[in-house]
Amino acid sequence: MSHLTEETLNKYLDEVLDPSAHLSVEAHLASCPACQNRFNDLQSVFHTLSLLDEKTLVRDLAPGVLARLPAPPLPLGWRLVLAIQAGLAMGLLGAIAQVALGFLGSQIDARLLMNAWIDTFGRISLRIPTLDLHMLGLPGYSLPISAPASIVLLVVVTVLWGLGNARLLRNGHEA
Amino acid sequence: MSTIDDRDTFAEMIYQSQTAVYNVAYRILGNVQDAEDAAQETFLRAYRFRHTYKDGYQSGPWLKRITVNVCLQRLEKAYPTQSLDEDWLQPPDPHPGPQEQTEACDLQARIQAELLRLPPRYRAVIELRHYQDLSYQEIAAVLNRPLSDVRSDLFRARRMLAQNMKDLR
Repeated sequence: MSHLTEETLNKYLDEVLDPSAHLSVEAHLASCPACQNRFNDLQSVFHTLSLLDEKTLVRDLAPGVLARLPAPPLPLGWRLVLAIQAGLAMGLLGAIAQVALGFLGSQIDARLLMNAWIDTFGRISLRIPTLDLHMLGLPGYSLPISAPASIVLLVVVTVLWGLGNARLLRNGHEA
Repeated sequence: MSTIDDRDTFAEMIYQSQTAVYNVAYRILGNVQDAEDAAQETFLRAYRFRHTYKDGYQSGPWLKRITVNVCLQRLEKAYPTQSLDEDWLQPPDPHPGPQEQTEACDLQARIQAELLRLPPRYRAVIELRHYQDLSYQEIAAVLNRPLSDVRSDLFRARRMLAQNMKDLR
């Protein structure tokens, strides 16, 4: 009589043998003390492992995990707003820099310099739209910038940057 | 889009399953600090790979399977040359303190100690088969290993445990 293999005993205990093989093993175990002993050893492993209790987790892991999660991506709307804000702010900063540099460098009146820059800008970049505007009967493009207006522009830039960065910082904090 | 994309849902998932995940890690790693670290890493990895979670299914089994792989990788990093060695044996603490000495008498501690004497990959198959009740095929899929290797590891692990646990009976 050949003895049961280790694989057969394991599969028997794991209940993965087909029904006929299962019955065959049962019959063999009933008549073979050697295999019964090996079976008992293996079965005791199953029993002993089942005695291991669950440990209690003493520390809440959630805050640590949540703090390390990456920031969720901004909604598309917010990304568009931030992109527009950045573009607008860069343009305004450029305008103000022109005024400031011109004032410091050549002592020319900031208002005159700004007007000149905007006129030039208008002529070069908006030549065709300007023509179109005239065709529609709209008034010409003119934006006189005074020193107080420059300060207002500076404030606007600051507010725009502040809003954008506050949103980004809040986003980072949520992460 | 997975429901885990919602951070509140994910936080709830952590609250509900952190003890189970911690226990899986503790059985494989054998100490509190490593198990807590592995549990945290499991949740971070779960969030990163949340697209693999199928809505409507229980998150517990999914998280536990990630935990097993996290633990195996940690052990392979800690013991790079020993992790696949069948003779792997965690060195015992040469100077156990009073608490350890007390625990050594405890059956729970003995079972845990015997698990820790197994090579990491044997611990993994024991964990997946005996504590998570996965089939051989499912274990092979979780560990990304051939079915024959998984069966072989499981049977050898049980043989080692049977030899080492004789005095527990």
